[in-house]
Amino acid sequence: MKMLKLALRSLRNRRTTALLTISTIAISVALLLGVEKVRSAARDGFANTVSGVDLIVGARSGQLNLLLYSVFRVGDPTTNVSWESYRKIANHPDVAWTIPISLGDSHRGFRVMGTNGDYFKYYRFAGDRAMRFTAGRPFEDLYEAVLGADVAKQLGYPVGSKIIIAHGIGNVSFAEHGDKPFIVVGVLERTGTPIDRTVHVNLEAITAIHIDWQSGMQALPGARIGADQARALNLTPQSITAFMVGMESKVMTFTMQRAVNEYRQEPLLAIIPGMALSQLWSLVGIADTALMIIAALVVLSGLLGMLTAILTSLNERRREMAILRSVGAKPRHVFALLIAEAGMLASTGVAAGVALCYGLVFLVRPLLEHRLGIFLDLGGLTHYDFAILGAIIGAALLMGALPAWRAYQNTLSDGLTIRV
Amino acid sequence: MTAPLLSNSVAIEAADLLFAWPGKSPVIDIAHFSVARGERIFLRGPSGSGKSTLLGLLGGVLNPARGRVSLFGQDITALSAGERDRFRGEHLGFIFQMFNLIPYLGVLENVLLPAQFAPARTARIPNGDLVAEGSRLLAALGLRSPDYLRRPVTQLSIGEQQRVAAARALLGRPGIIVADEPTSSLDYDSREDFLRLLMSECTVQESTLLFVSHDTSLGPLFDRNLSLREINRA
Repeated sequence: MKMLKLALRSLRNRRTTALLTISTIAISVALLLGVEKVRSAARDGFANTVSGVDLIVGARSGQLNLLLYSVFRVGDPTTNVSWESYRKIANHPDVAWTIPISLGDSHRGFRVMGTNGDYFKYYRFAGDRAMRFTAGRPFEDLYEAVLGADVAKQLGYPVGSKIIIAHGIGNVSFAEHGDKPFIVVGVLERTGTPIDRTVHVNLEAITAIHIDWQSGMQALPGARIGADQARALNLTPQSITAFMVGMESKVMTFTMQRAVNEYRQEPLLAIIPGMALSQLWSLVGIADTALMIIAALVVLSGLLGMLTAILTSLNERRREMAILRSVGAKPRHVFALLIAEAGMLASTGVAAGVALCYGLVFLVRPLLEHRLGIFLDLGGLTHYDFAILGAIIGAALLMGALPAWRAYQNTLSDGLTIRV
Repeated sequence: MTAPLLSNSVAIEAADLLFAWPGKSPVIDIAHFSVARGERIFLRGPSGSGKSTLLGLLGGVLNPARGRVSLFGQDITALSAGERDRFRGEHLGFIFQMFNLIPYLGVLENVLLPAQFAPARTARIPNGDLVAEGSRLLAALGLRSPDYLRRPVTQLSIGEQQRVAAARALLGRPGIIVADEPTSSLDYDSREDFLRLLMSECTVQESTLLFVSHDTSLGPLFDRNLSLREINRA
């Protein structure tokens, strides 16, 4: 206790160095905690790209491939799912609802997705958040479209705009469905998921715009079918890209997955989104591990700065140690004095770092939420955070043992008679 | 441990004492050296004559290769390192040549420092009132103004610093005061002044004073005047 008090006085006497050391530690700790917070937020955000969906079913390929094109709109399906198979599974008594997905077209670089009204009703992200409209409503009529937040913002489309869908998914397309324009009837609130970059239309509309197309080409002018003519035709698609399934009871999910995977009539694949997402994250997550390692190294350099500061002070403090010895201090007191210094520097640094981190999180939170759809948690420190902070202080004490040991040795050899 | 020691009439006794730094020839080789209780002894010797080593041995910071050192009848060479640290804290007060004070502590805190490590010294203070005793000692050594108590020690003159150091050495009435060239950075007048105050306070507290210096002019002021060369055969 008395050594703590002495150490505190001693540090106050060297407050410039002490404050600099503390700020170095604080900044590094804030960085580490911040990276950890963003990391877990990004991981949660990623894992929450889709939720509430029990199974995603597509043509048989790989589970990542299916996840990527159905949820992230990245890549392409190898083949489609026939409408028959879809209806068969959708009508299964254990299935509560299904959301069909039809991809393949685009609008100025944004993917167009054909689906139905259940999409807005059942699809969830970030835990249990449902889609909400900043303007307008879901599509009802055949040629109506709902835009994701990024699409609306980047292209500047308000509700009521007319858009033309391009055939294929290139950024610039030469084949357009110009004869069947769509009207924007709704704009979705930002979700921080691929929904933001998607143009949503009716599943039947996808059939309608392709009704007079063959082999990627529109029929010759004479054989074309106009927008209103198409309305009269049967627009039930022959096939869809994939579909999402909600089960009546979660318990049946695995049974259904197995049933779909063993479906005889058509090679299908059913994946559980959460499992596929975590598999994907294990690939993507390497980057954030690297970030974490860098942050840990910054903390290490902060602690090394502290070590340097204490070690440098040792020589000019030999006299001080000899005085303490002369009044009865044992070498272990000198050891304790320096360990106490390291401990105080580190714990003050850690405390300041935590405060700094929360301050920063508080400031950048709205920005991250708005720009990247990453939801930072302002809640208390997790057990993991505490473990990290404890480890930092532990490491500091361990490092403090080096100067402490040096001082201990000096003390033994100097005795009472060092002449500075 | 404390009570019987104080009844012993010999404060310091060294017998057949030999000390050498590792790999070097002996610096201390003393057949016999003793100081009576309450005696004020002047030990002179040029630099390099082994004064500091001898003080290290008497203070129990160094351990002799041979022989023993007894303080008030207690053979400190037989004690463990930790016990010697405690013994030193309780029974010895040190004044060094310069830089005697802990720079980050105030004047009074410096004076009261021994009480932190040696409860026995606190126990010997009337009513256990540390602050009163510290102020009394400072006043006895000529630092009367209470203004001193609040000043940072780094703002004191060398002479003032040495008085604070003396007050610290005297706190809690240790049996032996060891002064290692405490006056060599003072001018002649303040040197005598300092010495007079130190000695009179030693008398009040019945402390034995071992004063080590190369300045022979101070010798006559002491009960006994001894050259280290006379007793050290090394």
